[in-house]
Formats: sequence, structure tokens, C-alpha cells
Amino acid sequence: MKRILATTLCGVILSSTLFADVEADTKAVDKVIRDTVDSVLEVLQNDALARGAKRERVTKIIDPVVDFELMAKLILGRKHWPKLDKAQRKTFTDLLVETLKTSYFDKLVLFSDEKVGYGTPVPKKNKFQAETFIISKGERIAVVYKLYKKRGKWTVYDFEIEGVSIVKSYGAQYGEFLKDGTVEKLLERMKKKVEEAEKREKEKEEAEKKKGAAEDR
Amino acid sequence: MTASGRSGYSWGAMAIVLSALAISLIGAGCASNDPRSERAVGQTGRLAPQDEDVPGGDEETGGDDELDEFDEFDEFDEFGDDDADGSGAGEIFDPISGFNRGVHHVNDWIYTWVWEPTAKGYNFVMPEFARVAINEAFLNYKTPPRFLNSLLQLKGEKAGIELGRFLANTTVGFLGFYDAADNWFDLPAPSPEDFGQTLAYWGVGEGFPIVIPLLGPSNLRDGVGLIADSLAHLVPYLIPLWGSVTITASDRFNYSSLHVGEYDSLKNDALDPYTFFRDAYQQSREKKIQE
Repeated sequence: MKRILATTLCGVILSSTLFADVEADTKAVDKVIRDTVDSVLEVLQNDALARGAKRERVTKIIDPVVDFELMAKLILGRKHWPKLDKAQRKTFTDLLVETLKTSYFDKLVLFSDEKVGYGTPVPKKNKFQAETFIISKGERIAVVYKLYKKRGKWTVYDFEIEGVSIVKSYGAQYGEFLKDGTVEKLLERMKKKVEEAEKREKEKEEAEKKKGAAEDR
Repeated sequence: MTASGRSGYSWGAMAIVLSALAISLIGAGCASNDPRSERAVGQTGRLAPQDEDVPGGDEETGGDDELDEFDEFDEFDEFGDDDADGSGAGEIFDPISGFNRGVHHVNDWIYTWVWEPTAKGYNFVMPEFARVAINEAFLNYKTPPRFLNSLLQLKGEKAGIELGRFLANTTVGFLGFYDAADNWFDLPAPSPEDFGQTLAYWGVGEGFPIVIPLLGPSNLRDGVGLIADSLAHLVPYLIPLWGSVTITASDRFNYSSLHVGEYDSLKNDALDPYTFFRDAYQQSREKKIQE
């Protein structure tokens, strides 16, 4: 009888601490996502900032929250990551970081005037999925951030826009390319794309400047 | 595209025959009996024989200082769901990719050089709030297929919400131009159901990707779904064909005017826009099917 009681008690204590952990983690994840998204929105909606300055600040905000190195690894996956030597891995990761940042920023700007709603983060094994909604022009766009605990800090390793995962999509694109193409060719191609994206970004900044000047006159 | 071409019931008969054909075709390729599980959705989609070869990835991890790194692939195995290499591509069964690419290029050209420039002009003369209201009205008009498909998927609550929203928005929402259900009665729009999702719910696989002229990426199952959904509207039975084509085109055009720049931004991300939009379509449909 005593033993049963002890076991039950142990069980209760154990499960309650586990439960408390999940609860604390949920709160922590929620805070990370809210703080990040809120400060990004604040920057985007600050009319006093030029596009280039906004981009710089957004980058600073998301940098510590997103694990770009892990994303690079997951995007190439088990099948392709081993094909890269050390230098190539570094090049790939750097190019990918540029690609993702530009792409993310370009899309953020499209939705900068919108409201954001937050769902309660859902635990998935030892990771979390935090669902947010951009309420844009009468529609709800679901953006899900996926986080894992990296050295005690909740860190984003993928996000989904309307069910389309960034890691999966880029993984599919690069995987398809590597079916016939070499790693060298892929890196070359990525570099070209990054340069193109930078050029477009510059053009957009210029266009904004011109528009601003016209309005001042 | 819910109200696409039909001139009466003859179209209906044809669509039903087509659907039956397609369903039996796709059904043959279906292995799963649990239509709702994520895996089932991902895998029933293939008509091709599924190769069960285990990728050699595990064996390739021999490098001594790399052992740590490869633990991460086990830890994040969610991306390996499709073919265990983390990149779902290449395994998509795409037998008419040549045709699809051709249509994709034509669609891309029309969208970039005709459709979106025209939408930009329309944006210039029509204020955004008006375009949002028009979009709401079209969404309200398209309630019947969403309602019926909710029922067909045994989602009674969702069907109720669709019906309630339709009644509220058609009356106090001024024929749907104002989303009164959401703003006044706290009844926001649920995720929309269509016949493609109904087929998936009952275990029908996607068949293979099809790019539809003017409409963009789809697949055999969802293409059949589009035809079936267009039959769920009442109005097209009462007006001539060009009338319903106009309604649909206006809906698409007004919708595009609210999304200027998005297609371009996505296209710029892709190494190969055709496969990018094909894969993105598949992923977003999987999410919608689960909802």
C-alpha cells in the first residue's frame, strides 16, 4: 500500500513538474515570437525610416532568433550536405542567409501595414510550433514559426507561410538542381541570384527615395 | 475558379462522368485507408510505384568529426517525411511536366505583362477599401461549394458557420460587401473547403500535377474538384455562359489587384519557378486538407 502511494505520489510530482515545464516553455516560446514579430512590425511601420535602414534593423532583430546555420543543413539534408566540403558549406550557408533575409524582408514589406494575431504555441515532441496570423485586406494568412531549444534559448529553424515550409521549398529546389548539377554550379547559381536580389533591392530603395522626394516638393 | 464555363446541365453530366473516371483512376493508386493522417495525404498522391529504397544517407555519415552534425538530421526528421533525404523534390510524379512547363510559361507571361499591369491600373482608380469589399462580396457569393463540401467532409460545425456567415453577410452585410459576421457576430471565415479537399478527405490521391491555363498550378484531383465546385452555384444556371465567365474573371482580377507584387516576389526566390510553384501548391493543399 505504501509503495503504491509512493509511486502515485512520485508520478503526480513528476508529471506536474513536466507539465509545469511545458507550460513554462510555451510561455517562453510565445514571448520570443511576440517580441520578435512586434519589434519587426514596429520597424516596418516606422515611416521615418528608409527601406535600407528598415532592412538593416529587421536583420538585427531576427539574427539572434533564427538559426540560419541549422536551416542551411536541413535544406540540403542528409543526402546533399555530405557532398559539400568545409569551405563549400561555409559559402553555401552565407549565400543562403543572404537569400533568406532578402526574401523574408521583401515579403514582410508587402504586409507591413497589417495586424498580427497570435495563437498559443503547440509543443511537438521537444520542439514548438507558434502559429501567427497576418490579417491582411480582410484575409487571414497563417504564418507558423517552428522553434527548438538551442543552448537553453528557443530558436527558429523553419517557418511556414500558408502551409509552405521554407526549409522544404528551398530543399526541393536545391535538391532538384543537384540531381543533374554539381555543388559548384549550385553555389555559382545562388551567388548570381543573391546579386540579382541585391540589385532589385537597390532599385526599390531608389524608387522609394524618388517617390519621397516627389512628395516633399 | 468556381464559376468557370458551363452552359447548363450538359456540362454537369460531362463533369460527373469525368469525375467518376478520374476517381476510379486515382483510386486505383491509393494505398492508404486513413485519409486524414498527414502521411497518408503525402503518399496517396503518387500513382507511381513507390520505391522503398532506403537512402544511403545513414551510411554516409562515416566522417568522424561529423557524427554530431548528423544527429541533427535525426532530430529534425520531419523534413524527411517524403523521401528521407530532406528534399521532397524529384520524387513528385509529374508525367506531363512538359505540357505543364509550357502552360506555366504562357501563364507567367500573361500574368506579368497583361494581368498584373492592368490590375495596377485598376488599383490606381479603385481605392483599396472598395476592392476589399468587392472581394468580400465574391467570397460570400462563393459560399455554396464551401458549405456543401463542409457537409461532405462531415464537418457540421464548419457548415453551420458557413451558413450563418452567408445569412448574416447577405442581409446586414449588404449582399456580402461587409463582413458583418466577423465584425459584429464574431464569426470569422473558417478555412475554405472545396471538392478537391473532399476527395482527399475520402482518400483520393492527387494524381499528378496539372498547370491549368490562366489558373495556374493544380492537380488531377483538384482540377476535377474545380469543375464539380462550379456546379454548386445556383446563379450560373440562370444566366448565359459569358455571364458566369465574367463573374469569375472579375473575381480573379479584383483578387489579383489586392496581391500585386506577391507573385513576383515568390518567383524571384525560385531557382526553377515551375517546380517551385508546383511544390508550394502541393504543400499548401496538404495543409488545407488537414484543416
